[in-house]
Amino acid sequence: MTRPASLLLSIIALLGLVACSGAADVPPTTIRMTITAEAPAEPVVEEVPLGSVVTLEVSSEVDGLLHVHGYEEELTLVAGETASETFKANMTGAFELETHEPDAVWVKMVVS
Amino acid sequence: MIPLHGIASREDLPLPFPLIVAAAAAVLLITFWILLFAWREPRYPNRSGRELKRLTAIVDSPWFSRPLRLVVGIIWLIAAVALAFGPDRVDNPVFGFVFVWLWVGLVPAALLFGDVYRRTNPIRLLLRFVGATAPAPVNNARSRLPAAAALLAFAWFELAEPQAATLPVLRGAAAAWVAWVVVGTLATSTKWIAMADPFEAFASTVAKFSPWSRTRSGQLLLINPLRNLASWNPPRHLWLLASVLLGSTLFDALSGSAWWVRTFQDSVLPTRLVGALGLVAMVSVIAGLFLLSVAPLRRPGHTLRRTADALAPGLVPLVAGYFLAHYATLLYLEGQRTAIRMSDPLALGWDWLGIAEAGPNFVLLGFPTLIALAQVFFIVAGHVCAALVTHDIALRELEATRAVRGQVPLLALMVALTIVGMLLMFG
Repeated sequence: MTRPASLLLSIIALLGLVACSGAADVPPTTIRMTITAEAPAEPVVEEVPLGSVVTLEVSSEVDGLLHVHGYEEELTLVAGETASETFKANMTGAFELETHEPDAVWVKMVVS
Repeated sequence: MIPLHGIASREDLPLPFPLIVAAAAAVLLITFWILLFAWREPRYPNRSGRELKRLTAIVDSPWFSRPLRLVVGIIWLIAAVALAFGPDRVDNPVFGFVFVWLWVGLVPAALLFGDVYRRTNPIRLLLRFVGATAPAPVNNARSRLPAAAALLAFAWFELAEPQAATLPVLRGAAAAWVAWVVVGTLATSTKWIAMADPFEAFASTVAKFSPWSRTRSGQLLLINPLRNLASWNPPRHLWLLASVLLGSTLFDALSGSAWWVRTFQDSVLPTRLVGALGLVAMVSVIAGLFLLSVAPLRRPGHTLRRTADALAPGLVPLVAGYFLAHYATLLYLEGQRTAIRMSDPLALGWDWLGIAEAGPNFVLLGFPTLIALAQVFFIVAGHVCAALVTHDIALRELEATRAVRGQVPLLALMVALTIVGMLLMFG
């Protein structure tokens, strides 16, 4: 094995050790949103700590589906009602919360 | 039911700025070191390494070749059936197959296993009766211009066609690809496949940066990847093919940036046209800058095109590095999802592989620092290998003092591309 490669491997191993020691007691997060017939100009950015249990509370003025990308969670929306869904944010990255009628991204969820 | 959407469901977090600064500093330092202190005689003029006679016998035997082709052929067949008869939803595995397994997966596959795509190319299997599965010639210097054009078309399809992840549109694109390669082969010869199939041309280019090569007599050779690349007698128009790959990866990052979205979301021009113009502009800028910066390395009596092709292998590690940095997490997450969806390709409730109910493994995505470090490592390592290969080729083209001076613009271009590439990932 070449020297840079073994150096990288040891860095990875070290990081693994550091990262495993953390990740306890992350507070839960609630994301509230209202879906309207009109698409928003820009999605709202919601920061979520890694490992947090996320509760989505979505009140909607239209019937439809809300899709959480990456996590592949789905909420069925009924006009005039509030739907909720809970999942654990166990991967980092930026994920879009999107409906298709109207075709819009409502929230950009950043897990870090 | 999961609604229809493009395949990229997750974006990586922006790279931390201090990491970019440190990486940029390292890139500058190493590049200067290569220019001023690295070797002064070409080190990798010819292909040499350890000959592996026994491995050659195994790999070339029908007992290895046939099962390999059969397995890969079956996977292609499942994807084709899903394309023809599956549901028009994003959980149809054909989307992940094309945009993740095929397009992103071919880079690591080529880096690890060499020219395996050529061996298992489904179109070569289809055209077996005209001899398309014959072993590769030792050197194929025929123009890669048709493949560069096809890659540009694929990049446009993937990045600018809003309906790319819908079945009717993907069917059209797949039919166009098969027709392009099959009709061309039947009209000319089997040499057309290496020249024109975008996936094979891409994969076999990256395979030159793998530790595998062959001797003239066909023995497998375990070889230093830098030597493998630098000793390559590159095909014509490789410089264009490499520019298309670099330009389209940069365009992917650029078109995802907030600036691009803000500038073009209310544009009066149709999205497809904006995408096409942006893509062609990006590729032209890369190709133009590359031509300008190889000009000082031109050997007397050689055309500029020939000089550009001679130096184009130096771009391959940049392409591989960018590709891995941009798409490794996509391959990890969506690659697993595609495997799961392959278990029920027609959405009929089947479970061939016994994994249809499984969820993908997310463990690696819980370590954002690790991901950022790996991304920066791929980019920096790609840059360093690119600079070393370029240095070696330049020394072969010209005598040492002129070669060192003449490299400055090309290395400067590479440094600029690397830093811009990282800044685009900063967001």
